[in-house]
Amino acid sequence: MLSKQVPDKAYFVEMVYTHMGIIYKICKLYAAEEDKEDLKQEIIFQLWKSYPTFRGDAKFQSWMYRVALNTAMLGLRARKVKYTHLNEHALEISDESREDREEEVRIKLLYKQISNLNDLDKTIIFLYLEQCSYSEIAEITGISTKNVSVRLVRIKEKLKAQLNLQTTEV
Amino acid sequence: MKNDELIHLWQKGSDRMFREEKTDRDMITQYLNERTLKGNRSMYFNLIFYGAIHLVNIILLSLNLAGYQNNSAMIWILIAQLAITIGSLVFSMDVFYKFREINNYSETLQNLIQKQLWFYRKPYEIWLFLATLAAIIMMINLNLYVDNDNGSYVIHNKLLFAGLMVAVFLFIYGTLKVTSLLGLRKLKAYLSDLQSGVLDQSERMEQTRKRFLWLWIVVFLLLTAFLVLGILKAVN
Repeated sequence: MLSKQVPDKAYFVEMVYTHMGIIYKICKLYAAEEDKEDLKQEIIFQLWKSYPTFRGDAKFQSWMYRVALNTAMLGLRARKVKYTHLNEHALEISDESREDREEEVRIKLLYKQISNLNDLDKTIIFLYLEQCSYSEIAEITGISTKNVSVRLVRIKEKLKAQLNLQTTEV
Repeated sequence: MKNDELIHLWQKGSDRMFREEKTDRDMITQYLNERTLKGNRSMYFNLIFYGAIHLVNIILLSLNLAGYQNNSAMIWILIAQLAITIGSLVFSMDVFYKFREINNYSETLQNLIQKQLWFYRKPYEIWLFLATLAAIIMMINLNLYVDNDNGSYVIHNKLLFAGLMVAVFLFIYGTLKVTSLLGLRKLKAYLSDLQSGVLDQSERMEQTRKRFLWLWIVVFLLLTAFLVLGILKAVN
């Protein structure tokens, strides 16, 4: 249980360190290559700033998704109003790690297609792929569970269609 | 392609992509000490700067109250200005705290955007007006302090004086207003995006912003020219 009065810095740092993957992924999807470092710093700073409002009964990870995604959308990105989609080079996988070429191509395309979605759809599919429940997604975004479910069906169909189509083109 | 294949791909991709990412505990600790974020600096600077102007005005008004204590007409003008200044200072402090509040990202995205919209539509709009008024009050009181002639003050050219004040007001208010307007339009577009789930509006906004920038530059140059001409005329 976390104390609201005296934020435990060491515990906070440890928790953020454990879940750094969330921040890396959000930075990759929401920031241009040159802004990634700034966004990472901003997310960590905003997490620390919001930490006193974190309710101990909630999941740290869910809270972290919410603050990090809000920062990505309303912080640096909103101020810059820059719609940078991931480029191919940002997702390149080295030759040495190639085990299954087809799968790698699909991974690359999946990230590319997600990065091309609008902010809200990107957030919804990101949370879904991170295996958040519909109610968690609704709680983070502020839209209804029903709306989440409807949107997810549409986004997944779109992604699947694009992936199938594009992998055959590669 | 099945749904769980998307999740499987995502996880595989995540594992591979972030092998090279290196952020250790010391770096995280260091990031916690970033006091002011780059993007919010100008807003905080404005709030603090105009807060300081209110404080300077209180000092100037106190000095002028002492200097014009025998001038009954002037005393009431100065008291009215002092009341406005103290009220503005309190309001500015409230705006400062509200701004900090709307930048707390632990709420839902929709709530957060609505709160930000409310802030820029209501308290910040009032603050813009009061900040401009503070600059005018400072100018008037500096003149009153410097040109105090045994408790009386003479305006030689009332028309020029009024024109100059209007020009300064328009210049400061215009600059602050245009800056805030751009920010507000961005947020409006974002809220709309959230509701409709499309980016079209934001992208259109960006194009509008670029067009609007030109208009702002023209207005800025015109007002500056007007201000310089006014000052030159006053000096001659």
